[in-house]
Amino acid sequence: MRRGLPLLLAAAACAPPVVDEPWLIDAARVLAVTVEPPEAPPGARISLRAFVAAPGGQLDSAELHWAPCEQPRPFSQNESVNPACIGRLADAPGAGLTTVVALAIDVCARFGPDAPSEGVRPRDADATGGFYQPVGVRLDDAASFAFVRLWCRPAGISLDLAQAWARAARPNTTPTFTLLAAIAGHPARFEALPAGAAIDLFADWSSSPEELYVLVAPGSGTLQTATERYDVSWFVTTGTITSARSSSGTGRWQLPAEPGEGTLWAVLRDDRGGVAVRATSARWR
Amino acid sequence: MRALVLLLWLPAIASAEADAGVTVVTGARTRLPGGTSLRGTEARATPLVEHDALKAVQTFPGVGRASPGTADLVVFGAAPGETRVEIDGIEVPSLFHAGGYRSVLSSTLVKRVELEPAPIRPDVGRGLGGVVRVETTSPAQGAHAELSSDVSDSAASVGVASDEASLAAAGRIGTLSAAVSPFLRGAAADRFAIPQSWDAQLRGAWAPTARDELVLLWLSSADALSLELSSDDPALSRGREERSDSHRVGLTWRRGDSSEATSVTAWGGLDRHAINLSTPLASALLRDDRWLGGLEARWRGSPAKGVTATCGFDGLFTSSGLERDGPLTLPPREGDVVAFGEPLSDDRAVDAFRVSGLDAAVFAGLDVSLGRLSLAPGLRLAAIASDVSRRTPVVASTPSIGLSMLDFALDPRLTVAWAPSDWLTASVVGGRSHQLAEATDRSAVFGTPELHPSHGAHLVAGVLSRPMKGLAAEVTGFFRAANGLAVRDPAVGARLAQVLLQSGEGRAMGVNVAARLTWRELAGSVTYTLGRSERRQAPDQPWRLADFDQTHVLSAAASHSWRGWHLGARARWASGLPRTPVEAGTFDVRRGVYEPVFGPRSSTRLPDFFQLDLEAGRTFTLGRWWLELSLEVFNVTNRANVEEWVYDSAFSRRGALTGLPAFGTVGVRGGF
Repeated sequence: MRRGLPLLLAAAACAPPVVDEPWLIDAARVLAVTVEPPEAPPGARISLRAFVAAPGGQLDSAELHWAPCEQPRPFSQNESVNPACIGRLADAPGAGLTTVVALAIDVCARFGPDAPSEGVRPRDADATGGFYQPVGVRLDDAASFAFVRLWCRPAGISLDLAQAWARAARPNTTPTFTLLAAIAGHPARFEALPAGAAIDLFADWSSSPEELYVLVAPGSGTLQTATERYDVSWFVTTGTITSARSSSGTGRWQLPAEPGEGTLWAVLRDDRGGVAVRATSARWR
Repeated sequence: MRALVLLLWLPAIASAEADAGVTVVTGARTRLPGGTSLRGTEARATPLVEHDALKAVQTFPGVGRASPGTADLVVFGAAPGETRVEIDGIEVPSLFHAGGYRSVLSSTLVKRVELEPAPIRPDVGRGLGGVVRVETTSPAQGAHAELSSDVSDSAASVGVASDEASLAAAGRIGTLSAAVSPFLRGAAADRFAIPQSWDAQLRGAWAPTARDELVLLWLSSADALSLELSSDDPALSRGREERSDSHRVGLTWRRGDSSEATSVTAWGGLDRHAINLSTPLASALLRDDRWLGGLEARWRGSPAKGVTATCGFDGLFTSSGLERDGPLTLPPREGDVVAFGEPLSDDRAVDAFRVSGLDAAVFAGLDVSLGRLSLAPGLRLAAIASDVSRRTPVVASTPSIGLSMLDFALDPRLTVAWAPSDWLTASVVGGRSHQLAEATDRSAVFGTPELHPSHGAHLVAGVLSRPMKGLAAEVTGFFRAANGLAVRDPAVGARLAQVLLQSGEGRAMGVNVAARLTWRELAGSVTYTLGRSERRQAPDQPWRLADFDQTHVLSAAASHSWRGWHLGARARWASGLPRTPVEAGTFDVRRGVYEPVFGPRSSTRLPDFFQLDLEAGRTFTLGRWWLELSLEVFNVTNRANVEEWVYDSAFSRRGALTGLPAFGTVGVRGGF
């Protein structure tokens, strides 16, 4: 009675690819949202700042509509936001690039490991042991959701383990870029790149030595130490990006043959929801 | 005591007969509507099944087109997991290898393959959908061997038989991956995942007396699939590994003659299945190692003129060790709203648990002939015991508390057939059935340990007409309903250890028209099903289309043999499967990926599927030796059938995954 192995992809031998250029900024869009602090306990006030990229470069102001999502998603849903929160975002009042959100006192019961009431199933953590409350931000008709990582004590574990976690656990911190470089055979300045060249991009960040954190391994009832992982996504207003996202912080930007200018963004993400953004203008001739 | 014996009588085992190849299953007296039965040789000669006898089932009336790339069988509107498959009374997990390209049993061992639209007879249980029953055969006297090779696989079989004993062995290894992969490049190489498969069988039979026979059957099959979907954005790349293998060994003792028969089958087996999905952002693991054992004993006899009785016992024991790791929503289940390629949830839950179950039943029935009217009442009483190792999730150091359950099911069945003339038969069957909850659903973390069996009822009515020699036509109407189906709890706050609810209901209805003409060396058949399969979350919720619903399924086939030449053609048309449209995407800033926003559920369909296939073959014989060369061309019109919608990473553009273009395969078979 077991279902057969689904091999849907087997039927897709000759699929025409869908044009997909996620790195191309051809319309204004929210590229990233930084959250300060990136991990906070119930009752904390959180500052969020959106970075809006547009074909003309990064916007210093934009009418954004912010709305914290108060309802967790159903367990039956794969997507990370309750559809009701997407609907609510349509009616959210206009604001600027920043907002402040106060975490509810019971946020760890709604989105975290605490059972909301007797006999109700608590939420599952992500692979890093994290729980998140979504905060919606709308630009025109495009909805985005930032996720505030909650500092909640693990639930359903032994007292010894809880004490060990309390001793070892530290909230996440926001990563920062330390370097953004272009290499066109040799180190080059972004203001003077060779037109038509393939530019190797390189970013580095403040993570040396490697950042460690602890989490309660699900199912095992043990404390586990994990190493924070990072990746960098690249976005441009023109040209072509290959390796648009990498854990090594590298990418390649194929510049147009004609002289011109554009904007390059690098978005740094860590495993636990920490985000940093750096934008730079570029010229090529 | 006499009353007890009468209670245990059972209708005669339906002896299938291929009535001019038409889709007919007749009982010893009472005809069963909507069923199909073919001898192995007939099934193997079905056009465009690549001489794979059991693949003919995919062309049987009432069988929908499987979801692309799956081994699913959608029988008369039933969900794929509801149809039971057994080979010589031994239950097997699937009739086909992964992808549905090949069956798991060598055609040389197939004596007969039957499909029934529902559990019609009282000796059939543990399934809400259709029943596929395969009967194996001994080789003809003497020594025989057969070798074959085509794009799909290479196979060998040998057999030797005397008056009293026979021994046959067969094996097959898939070569599709090796044959096709070198021709795939770029994105196609990523997307075209072909399983590596093999199967092997051994069958020994011994007839110590004229009335006794002992049959030993060993079956093994395995599939492995490894797929890496790369993407310029590593967050969207994904890997998938699946492995499954199934092993059975069974011993059957039969004693009997035309008036009385007794049989006992005992078997055991192991099924292993593992899925491993991985992306940079999330991963999921499902492992199910399942030991099985079955026992069936039955007696059939004729206590009075015009009356046949059958009674017996059957039982299935299963013991599963399961591991699950990943989000609750993987693997997807019927009713899930998903978009192909959407990012996996990165929630992570973990559970390791055991589930054991015993479904034992006694069954009895009669088959009474009253002139042109025949009746076959039957009854099946089952006791279903199950045991789950954990009733609740692991919390701190709380010791595990298991769960034991005992359910009973009383499944009555009735068949009535009326033959007003020699060329016309009308029949109707109705009954109830039940099916055990899936072991994988009984996790305290991912599902609900306290899942009882689901129940179903069916009604099938048909009229068979044979107006002239070589021509037969049948119209079959069907309705089936099921309740107690496990469905996900759509509420925001599910109860602890109750992620799945048992409130789901299903129903399917439709009509099938089948006709077959045989004239000299020409044979043709047409079958068309108009059907609708629906599901709902709970009795107070609206019905929706089931994921496997197909409104129209039309299949036409013809073949002609002439002086060693064989020509065949097949055309298929089927409605596309229901899909939920994606209306937009929301950007997950934390992970840097988009997620789909869905429109009305199951409100669209994939485009209709159409495919025309042709085959030609030539057989050469030299004494006992024979050699056959064959050419099969699939999708002759080179139609780009849409098998799935795909989206760009922002879910703003939609594209189509299309099926294979026109392609041909060459095969060679030979033997003596």
